[in-house]
Amino acid sequence: MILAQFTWLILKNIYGIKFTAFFEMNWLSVGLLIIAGCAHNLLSNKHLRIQSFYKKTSAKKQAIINLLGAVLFVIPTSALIFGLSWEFFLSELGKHQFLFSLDAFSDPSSLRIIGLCAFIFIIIFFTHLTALAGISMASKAGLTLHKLKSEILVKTANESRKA
Amino acid sequence: MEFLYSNFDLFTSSLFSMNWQDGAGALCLLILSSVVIYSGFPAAFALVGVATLLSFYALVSGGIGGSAFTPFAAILEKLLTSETLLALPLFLFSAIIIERAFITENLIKNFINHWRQKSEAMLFTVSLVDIIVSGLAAIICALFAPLAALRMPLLLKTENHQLLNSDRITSLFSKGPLLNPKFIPITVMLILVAELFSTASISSIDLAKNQSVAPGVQIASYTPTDFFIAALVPGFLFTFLYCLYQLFLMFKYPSEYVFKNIEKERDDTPSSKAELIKSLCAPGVYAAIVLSALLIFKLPIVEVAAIAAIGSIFLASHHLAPEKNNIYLNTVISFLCLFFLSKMFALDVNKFESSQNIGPLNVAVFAISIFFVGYIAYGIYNAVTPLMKSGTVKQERATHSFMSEILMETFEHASKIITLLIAALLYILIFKQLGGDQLLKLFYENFRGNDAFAILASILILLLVGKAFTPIIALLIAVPILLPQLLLFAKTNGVEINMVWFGVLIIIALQTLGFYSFSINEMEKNVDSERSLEVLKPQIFQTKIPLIIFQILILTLCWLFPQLVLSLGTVI
Repeated sequence: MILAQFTWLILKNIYGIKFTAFFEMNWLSVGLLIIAGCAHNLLSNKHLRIQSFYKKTSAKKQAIINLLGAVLFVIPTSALIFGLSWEFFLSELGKHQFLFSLDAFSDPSSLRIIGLCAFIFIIIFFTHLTALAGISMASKAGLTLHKLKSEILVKTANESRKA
Repeated sequence: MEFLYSNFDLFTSSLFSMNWQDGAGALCLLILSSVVIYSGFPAAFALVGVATLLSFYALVSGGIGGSAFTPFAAILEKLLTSETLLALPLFLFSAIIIERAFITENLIKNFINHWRQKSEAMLFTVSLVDIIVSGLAAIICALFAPLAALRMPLLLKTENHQLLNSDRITSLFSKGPLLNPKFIPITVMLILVAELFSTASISSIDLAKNQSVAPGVQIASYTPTDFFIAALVPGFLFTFLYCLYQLFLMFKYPSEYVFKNIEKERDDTPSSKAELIKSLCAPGVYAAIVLSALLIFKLPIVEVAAIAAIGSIFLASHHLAPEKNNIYLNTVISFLCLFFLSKMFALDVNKFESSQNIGPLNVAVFAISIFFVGYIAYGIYNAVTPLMKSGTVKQERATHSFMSEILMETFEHASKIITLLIAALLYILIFKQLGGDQLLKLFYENFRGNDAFAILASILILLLVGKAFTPIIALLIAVPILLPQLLLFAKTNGVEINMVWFGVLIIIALQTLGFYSFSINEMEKNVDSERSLEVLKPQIFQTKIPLIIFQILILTLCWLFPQLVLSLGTVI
């Protein structure tokens, strides 16, 4: 991405060549950053959290927050973004026609369709990966809760045995 | 139980009978999202999740129509293809690589070695290094420099309390407040402000059309460069005032401001002036190239970011693999020669195609330029290779190369900010659909005739949101919500608000908050025990008082004399 942008800079400013492929490549890279980055951050707990309350709560409460959040917020949000973007993609697709020839890359209507396809590609992967990360987050929180519960059960069983 | 049921029925019936258009839904959204963010769930998903659930509810109860969300995908597509946003990961990359290559630490060590006999001079030296490093980290804007410089009295005080040793002080100095989640690097902030202000300008015109108010102004688009230039004068003024204050303290209480431990511990020979200047050369050239690309050649922000990113790779390689310094130097010279060659001779390929008379001089110059381009490519290869091969800075993850570690961090930080930006887009759209505009209209109508109070109230709201939920949320959520209504309010009252001036005011206000969060966070990481932190916290507050006074002073000056912010922009 850095190299592509630097090449674009030299080609444009020194030789006056506006080779848009470099630029398109860069915005696709930003798209890829979002696709993978959002889900990765969710799984590795790198997203921005307001820690003042969360930090002080017990592991059980933290797991409950994560479980509820993943089920109520992450999955419906991914579904909503996907639904809205798909609807937009279909409606925009209907307005343009693709030119099935070599001139497609100079035809604005065909270029718009290529752009739309890139956009929906990014959105499909972004929303699906985020939803999967949400499911993973929820199951991780569920496992933590189950583990805590079984630990308490073992503890009480041991105590009752001792008694 | 029956009482509960009857009350639940009453609650649901009142919610169902809610008039979504008069702002009750928007208010409900604000309260609910605040609660959920405070619970500690990732802010981006908390914001957008609450908004989604509430909008489903409004949709079911008939509060809003199905077409309410239609603009979202178009806005999202526009955001993803935004040229300004491309600069964000590049600036983050350069900031991270400079921080991880310990360039700052090296500079500070050189200064300490040089001036270790004169402990009083240390105070000013560290300020100087911080200012250089701020420029280095592609921060460019002088506003960031004072923030770095402000760490100093705090650390000096802690040094006197023997809670931190000199190595820790050095490590604290070397860590800029770039990667703190509560702190937004100024470059990223300026990019976001430019993006948000341009969108707000369009939104205010849409609002004016909806509310049958004559828009009166054209759609304005702002570039980060406008804000960079505007923030320079207040930033330098702030640095100057704070340095004066530090000098005053230094001469009044000389015993308080001495690096006791450093003096005792360092036994090596002091570094010469030549060595000191040599260590400053590479960062100085880098800062000069980035600044001149922005201010003199006025390149678009994405291109400046690309230069900053490539330059930071060279800077890191210069520090980590000095054996190839000659190649790096030659590459920089080749780049500068290529640039001046293109200014002096026509290298534009399009002109060659149309022109019939291509002389031998043109061909020779073109060939030389190709040689320079080839050398730049060779230089980049030589700069990247040592970074790919060298081990990571973190010992526990020795399997990763330095470069992959940096790229991973850039990837995480950039996607975090972009996810927040997407979440903010959807949140704002739903907020507006739930009658948020009506709510804000009612709010601003209270200030009819008092435009200054309306601006002041907006800044205070931003500060409150920033304090409660970190400055980045204030910037991404509160600014796009408040700004279009504020603009419309100003237009209906016949007042013109200069957006560049207003943007700088917002940045100054939010940076104060960011700095405080940063200092507390850094202290938490570097102090041994909770007890030490409790001792340190009042000191942080003490050092914060002059900062707040200077910040308010600068804000007041910018408020009273907008020329302070705008004059440099008109000159350049």
